[in-house]
Amino acid sequence: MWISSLIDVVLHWSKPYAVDDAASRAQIVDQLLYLLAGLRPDRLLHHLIEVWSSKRAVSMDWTGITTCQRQDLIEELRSVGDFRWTVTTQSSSQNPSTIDSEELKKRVMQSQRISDVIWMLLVRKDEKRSEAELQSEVRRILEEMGHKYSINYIRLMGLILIKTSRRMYEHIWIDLRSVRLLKSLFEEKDVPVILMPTHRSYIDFLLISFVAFHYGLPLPLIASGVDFMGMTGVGEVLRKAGAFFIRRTFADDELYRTVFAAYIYHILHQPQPLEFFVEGTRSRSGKSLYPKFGLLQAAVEVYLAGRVPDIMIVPVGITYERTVEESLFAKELLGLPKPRETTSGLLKASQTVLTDNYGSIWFRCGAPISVRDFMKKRVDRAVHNTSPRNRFKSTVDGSGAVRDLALQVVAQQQDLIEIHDWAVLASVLLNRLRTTGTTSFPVDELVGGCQKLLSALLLISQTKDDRNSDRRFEAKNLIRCTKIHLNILQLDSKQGTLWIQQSHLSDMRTLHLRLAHYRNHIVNLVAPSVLFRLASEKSQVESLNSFEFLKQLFSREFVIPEISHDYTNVSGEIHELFSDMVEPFLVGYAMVLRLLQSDAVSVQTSFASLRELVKSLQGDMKKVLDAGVYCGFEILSSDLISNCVQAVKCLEGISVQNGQFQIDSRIVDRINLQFLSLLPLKIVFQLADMSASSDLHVYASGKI
Amino acid sequence: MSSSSSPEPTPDDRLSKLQRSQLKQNGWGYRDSKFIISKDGQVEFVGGRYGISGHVLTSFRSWMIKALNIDLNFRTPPKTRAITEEDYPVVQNASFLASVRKENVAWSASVEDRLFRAHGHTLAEISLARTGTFLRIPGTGFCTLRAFTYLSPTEVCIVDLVVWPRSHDEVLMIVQLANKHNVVIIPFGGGTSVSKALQCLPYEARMIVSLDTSQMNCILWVDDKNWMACIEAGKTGQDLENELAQKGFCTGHEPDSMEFSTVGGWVATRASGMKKNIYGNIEDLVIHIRTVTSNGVIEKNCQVPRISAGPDIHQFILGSEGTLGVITQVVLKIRPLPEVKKYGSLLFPSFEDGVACLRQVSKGRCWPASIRLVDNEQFRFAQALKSEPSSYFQSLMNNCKKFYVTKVRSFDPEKMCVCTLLFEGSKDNVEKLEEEVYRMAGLHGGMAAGEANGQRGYTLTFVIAYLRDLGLDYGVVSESFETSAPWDRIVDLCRNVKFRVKKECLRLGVKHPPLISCRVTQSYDTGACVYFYFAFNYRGLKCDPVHIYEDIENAARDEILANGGSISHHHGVGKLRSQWLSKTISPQGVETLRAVKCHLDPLNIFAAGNLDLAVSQSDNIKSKI
Repeated sequence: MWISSLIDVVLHWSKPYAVDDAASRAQIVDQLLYLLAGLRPDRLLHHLIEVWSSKRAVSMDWTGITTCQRQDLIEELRSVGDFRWTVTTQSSSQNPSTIDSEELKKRVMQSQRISDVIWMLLVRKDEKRSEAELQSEVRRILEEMGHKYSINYIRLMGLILIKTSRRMYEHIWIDLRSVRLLKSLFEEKDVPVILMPTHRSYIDFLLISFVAFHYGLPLPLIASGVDFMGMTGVGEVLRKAGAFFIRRTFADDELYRTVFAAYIYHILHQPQPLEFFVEGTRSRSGKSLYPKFGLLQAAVEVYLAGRVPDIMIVPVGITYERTVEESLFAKELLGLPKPRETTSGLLKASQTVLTDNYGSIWFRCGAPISVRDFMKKRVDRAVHNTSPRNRFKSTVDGSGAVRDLALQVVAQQQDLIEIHDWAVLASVLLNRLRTTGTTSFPVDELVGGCQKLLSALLLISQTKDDRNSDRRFEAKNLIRCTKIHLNILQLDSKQGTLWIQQSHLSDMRTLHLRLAHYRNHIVNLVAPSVLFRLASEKSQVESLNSFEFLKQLFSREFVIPEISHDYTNVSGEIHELFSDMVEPFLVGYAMVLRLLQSDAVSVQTSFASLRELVKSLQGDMKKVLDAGVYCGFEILSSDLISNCVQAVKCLEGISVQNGQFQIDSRIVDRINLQFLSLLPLKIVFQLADMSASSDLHVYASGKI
Repeated sequence: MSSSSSPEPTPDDRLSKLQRSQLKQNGWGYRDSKFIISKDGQVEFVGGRYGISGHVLTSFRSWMIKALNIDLNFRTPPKTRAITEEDYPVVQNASFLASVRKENVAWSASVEDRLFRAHGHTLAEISLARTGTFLRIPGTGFCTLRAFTYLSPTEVCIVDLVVWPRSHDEVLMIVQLANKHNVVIIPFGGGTSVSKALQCLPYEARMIVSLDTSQMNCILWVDDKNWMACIEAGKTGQDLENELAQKGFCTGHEPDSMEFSTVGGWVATRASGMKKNIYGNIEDLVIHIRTVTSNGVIEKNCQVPRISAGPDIHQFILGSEGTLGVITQVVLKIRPLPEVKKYGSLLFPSFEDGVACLRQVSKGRCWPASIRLVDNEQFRFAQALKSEPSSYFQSLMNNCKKFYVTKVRSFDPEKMCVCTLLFEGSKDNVEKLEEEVYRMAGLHGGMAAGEANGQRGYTLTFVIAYLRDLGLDYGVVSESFETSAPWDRIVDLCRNVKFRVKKECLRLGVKHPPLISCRVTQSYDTGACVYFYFAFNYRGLKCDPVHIYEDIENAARDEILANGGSISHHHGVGKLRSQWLSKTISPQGVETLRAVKCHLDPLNIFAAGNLDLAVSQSDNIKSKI
């Protein structure tokens, strides 16, 4: 009797949220019985709260979503109270019985793999530490690494986030297909999910959790770099939000590597998804970085060792109309030292950050990649059968496949980036700045240029988006962009002119790099076709070789799909537009290659580190540009220089001997000549001009 | 050699009829025993041979509908077309037949006898037998063996003649005649093969003779001083145990097919018995083997417990799958009948816990005679096979038990699984062992679940084979396959294979969710044997379900190998799994086996084509031509 009256009470409470069907009623009865039998009043209370709150969670008919519907999260959040959102959105289904963070560490501590590696280290002659010391070292590593996920902290952060995001952003566009996709992936219980977003800003760390929280998806555990931990308090807060910390380099540290692998293994064996950035760090340039493989390798190994039936990797594209770290990134790329991440710095920054308008964010997930399907033809898992399971040794096949996989993820991420108005406008502005040298532009002409570029981009864009078909770039789009980027631009609506803000005129280098950051959102769309066109100016046979060469040279700069794409449908006019966008990269690479040549005055022949080499090149390039012949200041980007140097290293133009980076001038000469022969005459002449006017006589030997 | 469609009259009707009257030709087991769906729609098991015979299984129908989405109106009964001699033309070797007659060996060329011996019990074979579409295409020459596994049903052929030798000497004589007249011999024991080992190669141009060992079924002697018995190869397991029991002995070798499988078959396939923990597998039981090869008899000259005389020749015969010769006599270890035989069962909250317990039992080597862990799917299946409770009190008790397990002990009904136990030995030992095993189970969250459940589990083992025939009547194809793996890979292997099978089903367009279930049937020091049951409902599928089934099983085997499992624990390789043999034992290993085969059987008389050995033979012959 009293049970049924209790149920009535429950039903009464939840009346507005309609527990009317017999099934839910039966479920409640069942659960109550279960709880009573377990004699756990605390669970009963907890359960009632969950039944109550889950009814308030976002309810939506996911089956109806077929086209590219999107939802504005900011709009959504306006309709609910902040506090209520943070308390109730989290439904019971999304908070599966997660492994307690301490339990996770304990499991790693006690795993066979750890005891095995300790034993292995102990028998080594050069190992000085004792068993107890090694064990405490493991504990220390785990303390440094481990997350402290707590749903209450997430709620607290959610409250802060909802307040700040509403002030900072006009829209957060969520692609609803992506949400539906994630929902369906989480239904398969045995298969871990890895979210791999693009990394352009610190906001990335919070955004996915924010979205997941809102839509009732399991919240991710996020791999981050240890540099975060220096920030007092912030590191702890991030830990509680599900972040765990990994050192940047640990290839030689056997113990750390094993603990790390074991930790990843245990994370993949619990219901929360893993989130990490395949690019390894925030891309300062706004363009995808060449991926890092360590974490992906560790995750894929869990599959290759047969410990999970599959892993689903979801590439995520996050596009910011205005990146919070914009000016910081520009400075870093110009070689100004990166400020250490400190809490006071963050607080100081947040004062200015919180008052500005940062426009829109676009969030979109790509087609999930099944690691099983990806590895099927590439790797034979059976080769690991004849060694013990906790001594997993990666094979050549395996590492190669992981590299391909990482590149595929980055390629997919590229397609998920929104072609937003500001990226188009920034590209056009950058062109004008470079070619005309003026700092004020008539609006009509700009709008015309933007519309031309936008329609060309939409034509070749991979994403099938219905909204794109009738998209146009008009004056109002430009006005909107200007509003968001008031720190750079100034609009004189009476005269119909767009000005660069006075404060930037003295520092054109930073301005160029800031604009390039947004141009780079979309440059990868056009780069392959431009390179292909460059190569196809040659005869048939040569063109293939030339394209291969360009692909290799720009392998770190652009993601060029393996499958031979059809670039021939790009008309001459569009090609002009596109090559204007890519031109600075061509000039920049030509210049780096030239500077690497033996007769360039200021270059030594060996360097202690890659960074030193890049820095020296950057200094030389500054001097060349100071002559004022070329205005494409963005080529000073350390990102571009280092990409070029890395590619030369891959082409064996630079070798490493005894830890010293040696330049092999013969090979560099060859690369340089081949590259120059492919460049359009216009650029070659420009390079010649630069060399002629350069006081340093960098180009004195007249090789060009 | 000539092809003819008019067979000679059968000289010895008695022999063939005896077997055929008892056993099904197109399904498993005895003719009188089978599952049926009665008029009121309930599932029943008819016949009086088994524990559940005659019972109405009230909840089984709803299980079938729920687990496999069976539509009782969608019936796919076997074709009952009368088979005529014209359907299966014979390749005749007149001179061989004349010699056989002269030597007064029992033989038959009737189409029923030939059909019965032309297949084992894989799904593909039984489905052929049900539709009756075997075919012999004589003289098509050599095609690659690879293609064979995937031949369409119409291209599988049957034997041309059956002979029933009565002794070792008659076998020797038949093998010599076969070599003289170039006739193929396929040894046939109980016919329970599940590796396509009995199938005839369709490109075989010679006459194919099935050598049925069923008339060599005597225990030649029992040595109660040394506890050994010499048994003729055609003796079935059940008869052997019954007869030895009269003398107070047993071999203790009990494979699930023991009612029909024979001693010779056990040796030829490396069989494994349920109670191997006490008695050992066949390779542990064998003391002496006598084998007739084309080059003469191969055997040892002594019956000793162990010998150091170079590589053990027994190891070539064990698992030779009819490719080297005919096993005629085997000496097996015997032991006195156990004082006590006691069943038991354990419930575990999850499969992982169960495996952990089995692992610990193995570490302590405190194995009962048999210890088997079934997963949740099979646990629920076994629950559905319970007959209706006989009284109100019993059903109340059932509900109470259920409440205790699921609510008080909070076992998840979707995860819990059961482990069945069989103890044998002296009373004291059994008690001690029981205590030890239950204590270990407790450490892993297990709880004792009674003797009756254990006993039922072992009865079901024999009955479960009959279920496929019921499924085939309602559009469900099913089969089992097995493997062995190290302990730390068992759980992952089971999960990954299930995942792969479900994924392949989706990929190949199977409309209903498949049933894939596993059990750990044998425990060893370093690993265990895992047995999978796989069934799916092919209603709504456009293409041939048997081919789809084979594709999925092949994918499952790939997955097993990728997860550190073996090609087979005890079913053998046959033709079904020969594609993985070279990967398993290395190409050098296969070449070694071929070299042995070349010496013992230069004319490839034993041309069953198992173990991938026939390729080099045909190459040999080709090169001679």
